[in-house]
Amino acid sequence: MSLSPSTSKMLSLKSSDGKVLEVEEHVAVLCETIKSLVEDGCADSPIPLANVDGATLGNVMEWCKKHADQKASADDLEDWDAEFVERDQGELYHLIMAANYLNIKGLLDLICQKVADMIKGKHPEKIREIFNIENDFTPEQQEQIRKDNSWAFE
Amino acid sequence: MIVIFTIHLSRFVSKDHRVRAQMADLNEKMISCRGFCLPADIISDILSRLPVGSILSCRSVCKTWYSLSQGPQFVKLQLSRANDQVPRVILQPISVKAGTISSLYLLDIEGHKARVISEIPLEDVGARGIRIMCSCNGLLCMASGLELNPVVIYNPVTKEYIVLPKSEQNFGLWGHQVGFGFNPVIKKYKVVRIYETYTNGNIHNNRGDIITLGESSWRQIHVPYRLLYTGCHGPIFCGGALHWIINREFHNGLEFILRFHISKEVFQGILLPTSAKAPKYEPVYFTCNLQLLNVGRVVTLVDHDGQAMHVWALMGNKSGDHIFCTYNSFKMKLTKDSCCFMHVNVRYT
Repeated sequence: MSLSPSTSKMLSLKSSDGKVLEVEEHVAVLCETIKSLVEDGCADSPIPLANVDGATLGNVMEWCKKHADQKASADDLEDWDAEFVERDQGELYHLIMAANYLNIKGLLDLICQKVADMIKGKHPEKIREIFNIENDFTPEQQEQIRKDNSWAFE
Repeated sequence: MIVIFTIHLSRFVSKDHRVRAQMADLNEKMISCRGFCLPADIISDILSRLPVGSILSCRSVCKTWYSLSQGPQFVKLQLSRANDQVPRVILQPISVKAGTISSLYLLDIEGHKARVISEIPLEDVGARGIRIMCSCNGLLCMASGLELNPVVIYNPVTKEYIVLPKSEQNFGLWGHQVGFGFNPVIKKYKVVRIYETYTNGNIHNNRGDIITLGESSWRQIHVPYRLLYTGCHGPIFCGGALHWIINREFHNGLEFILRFHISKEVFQGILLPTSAKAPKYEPVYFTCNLQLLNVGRVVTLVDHDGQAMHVWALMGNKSGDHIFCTYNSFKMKLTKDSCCFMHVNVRYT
């Protein structure tokens, strides 16, 4: 089956909140999940994506469109990606979940790296605050971990 | 004197079975923290992208992150990422006091400082004069240059270690160099040591032992060359093989590096091209003026003669059939016993 841009047809994707997005097939197949549906001939119209809301689906397809563009150079994509991840935490979270569900390795790598950069060098207390994580260690356990790896906390 | 090792810090391996059991649970369900509720494998992915220091400090964020940072999936990911990064430098001061065991320092080049990362907790194994001999995948192989036992595989980050089975030693030991490598096909580590011994005044060379981690005893192997023991530090693991410096006093040929292929278990002498300048081989006691290094996955021999640093880089195809060597020298005036980039003469008392 040819998936080149010239022969690309349109696919309809339906988000969890009922929004329908028309996307060129060669763009949508960057999502491995959609690609296997298309290859198996199971791409009903519209394709229901129960775990992705409309706003996130729009963002994901924006990324796919840029990355499906044969004319984009590696440097160009890198700059574009750097701008693409400048989002608030909520959006990043939804993007990770969508990239995972739709199986888009490139996008998942990009957002995971962005989140890792947000964590890097930060104190555990600060990380908990950023990600709203509850500290479920007892003070004694906490102290023990600190002691075992004291150099990392300097 | 400080011996400097480059190493890819990695390997967060846990022996704790409770952690493994928790992992199985975690992979089944979403992580139920209030904010970023991500699947376990995504948290593993994110944490594996962090530098070692950050990973250690992230362990104290919550119990979930703690367990994840010890799970098998995390270990695998982290190791593959660490091997693609610039290696870190570990320093081991050689203690002047006999019988004491030193700390390891991690060099923080950006921060212009060296931090103690671990006190080597090896009192239990009776490791007199134990030092780093070789490193592979973030693990250190440690042994004494003067005694066959013990040989210890040590993880400087998690401080976990295993002591290899003992060898019977009914002879005096002249010298001992232990190499440590990994066979990615069977996913097993191997330790190869080469030593010279004397019994009743007779020196025996060409001796070696090999063990695959998990085996209960060492196997003897015949070593075709004698090694240089003075003025050099130890073997390196690079490109699927261990490399030692050959002692050319005893060999007339042009071979200068001994290579041992970890999976095939075959020794090979590597020739110095006739066109290249030969290393001077003027070893100095207690310093490492002739040293093998793994520079960007290229086996590199560095010799320092006080006026210049001489560098031979081994090039070759993957199968190791055609190995050749490039030579470069850099003018660096240094007193012969002061330093080159493998060691710094600072004494810790």
